[in-house]
Amino acid sequence: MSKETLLEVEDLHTYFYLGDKVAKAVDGVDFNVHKGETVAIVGESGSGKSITSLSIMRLIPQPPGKIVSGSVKLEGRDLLALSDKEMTNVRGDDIAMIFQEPMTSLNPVYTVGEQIAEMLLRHKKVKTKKEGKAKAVELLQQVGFPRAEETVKEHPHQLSGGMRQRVMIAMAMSCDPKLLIADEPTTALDVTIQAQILELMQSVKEKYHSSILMITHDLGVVAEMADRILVMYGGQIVENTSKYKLFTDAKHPYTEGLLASMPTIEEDKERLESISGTVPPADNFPQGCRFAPRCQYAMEACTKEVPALREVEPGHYVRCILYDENQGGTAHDS
Amino acid sequence: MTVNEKTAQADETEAAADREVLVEVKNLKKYFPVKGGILKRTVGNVKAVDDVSFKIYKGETLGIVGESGSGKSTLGRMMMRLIDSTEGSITFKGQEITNVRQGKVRPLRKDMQMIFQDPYASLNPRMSIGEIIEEPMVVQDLHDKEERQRIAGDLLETVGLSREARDKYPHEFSGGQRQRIGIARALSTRPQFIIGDEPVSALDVSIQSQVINLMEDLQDDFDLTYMFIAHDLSVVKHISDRVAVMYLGRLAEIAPIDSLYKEPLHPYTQALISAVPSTDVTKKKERVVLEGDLPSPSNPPSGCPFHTRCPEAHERCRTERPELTDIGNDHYVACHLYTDPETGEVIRD
Repeated sequence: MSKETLLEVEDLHTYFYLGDKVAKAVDGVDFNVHKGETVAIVGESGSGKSITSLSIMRLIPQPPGKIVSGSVKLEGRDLLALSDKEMTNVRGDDIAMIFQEPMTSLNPVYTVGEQIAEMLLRHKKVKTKKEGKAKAVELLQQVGFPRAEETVKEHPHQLSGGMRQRVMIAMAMSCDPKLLIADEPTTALDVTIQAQILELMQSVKEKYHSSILMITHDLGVVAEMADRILVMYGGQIVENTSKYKLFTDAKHPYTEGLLASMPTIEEDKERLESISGTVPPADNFPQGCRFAPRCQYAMEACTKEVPALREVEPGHYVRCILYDENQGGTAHDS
Repeated sequence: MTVNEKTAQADETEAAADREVLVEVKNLKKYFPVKGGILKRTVGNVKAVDDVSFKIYKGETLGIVGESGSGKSTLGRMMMRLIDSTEGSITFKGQEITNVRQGKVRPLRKDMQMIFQDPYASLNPRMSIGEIIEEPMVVQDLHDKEERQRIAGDLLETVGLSREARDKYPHEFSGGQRQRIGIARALSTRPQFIIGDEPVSALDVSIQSQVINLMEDLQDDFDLTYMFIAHDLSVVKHISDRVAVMYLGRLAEIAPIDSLYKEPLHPYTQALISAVPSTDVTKKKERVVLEGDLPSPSNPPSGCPFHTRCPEAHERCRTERPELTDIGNDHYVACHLYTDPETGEVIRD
């Protein structure tokens, strides 16, 4: 089974220098995204999931932020080594991004059509503005606008949240990117609109044969969309496995706790499990395993050093000493 | 099968006999005028809440779900008397509170409190935690200073914080801890009824479950009745006994959670429940994806407000507005599919 790798992130470290403090927002992240695959990064606020995606796009505000080390390779080409100008071409042509709040990503003073046309011109997909506007109508039709000819003449404030997100998806897909990064794309939307947008993302992905890297805190959305899931905690990936494995056989105590603390519409839980304590701040991570202070299985060895992300079964990676034989791990299941 | 209306009524009286009504809302409306032209004349109304009636029984949790613009928060604010209603009545423990003048509302708030969504905006950053929790007691003129301080300390422990937190300020706490402080403040006057307006929506999953568990424990310890407003159907299902579904200012359906989630009757409720992403990866789920957006509440569709997006809409839905109808077993629905157009009798198969 050989899958072609599209994106390869290796040992990525992104730090923020705030006065005399260093916030290790992303601290040693490794993962791959294969062609045609949807990978989701899940985590709570402060886990480093958004900073990971911004680092891939090289959109980290600098200073105070800095990609300290690591590499981000798109089809073998190291994005971190590119000049700013080359990177500008990668954004949009090769990797496109959509954000949580589409209103802040659209310019309020231009019409939707003008913005799409400008971007098509910028990426040399069309030669004239007029051609760009015609293409904009076509793109909007593809993402489900029934009256696309009128919508291109409207300003962003005239559209609803769901419609704005459709515009963003249309713009993102217009240059046929290899990778679409979606940072909480449906978090600001109502549930019936969310269902529409998720369905649209699935269909554009199939149509354009692109890969999706999705950042979200919503495990339900992940279960709908992802092929593979990365769970982040304290700037590191603590578990990396297929969607099916994650929801049926989660191994890291944090993932377990997260799943147990979530009310679901299918089951009736008498009482929700909860993880005590709060997410540690990035400038003050505990020694050793970052989850240890909140972990019900924590033992002395956990506070000594950060456990490695180990492959515990094919394609299933866990950062926990319970699964490390050398450390006297005991939690192997047959 | 046609349910005999008499049996339905008998069921209701039987069920209602051992339930005490704490809050009753009747035909409640809130219209916000839309001003236009140079004379700023009223040119229309946004019907945020449009003719809503329901009861909340003592000791239960009534969940209110709906998408943005459905009027769920406006409803909560009217019931707290934070805003005046346009029409209709609100009764609390048998006492009409709709027309109590703003100046006289204060004593009511002793019994009714609210927990807000944004734990960052709802605590005054210049007040210490102790002052924040004591304030409702000061306003209500309850206890002397020492007693108030003692109660504030006790409440902090009740909600899982330390007594020492009294001397700290809101910025020193995380979102989840601030929501605990908001809960302690709401409890300080020993209310009987608490309205939570999206109280856990801004919190991370692992913190959200801590706060939900806390609210459930407090309900038992303090004999509280909750109205829990939220957009998250899974959370509402977990915490509520009954759920009311709102759409464009009107109630679409109200029922106990078991029947609402297992057998939703209103096409909107069905779509809403099927739109919730499922975490059960072993099953493939059939989904009803609704077309289009919520229509504007300033220009709601004629007839049934949902007919523009409803997969089951027919001629009658475009012209005649369905009323909330009792279809038995404490289940009410506002949809023409469940009443006979000729006789008005309840149909259910």
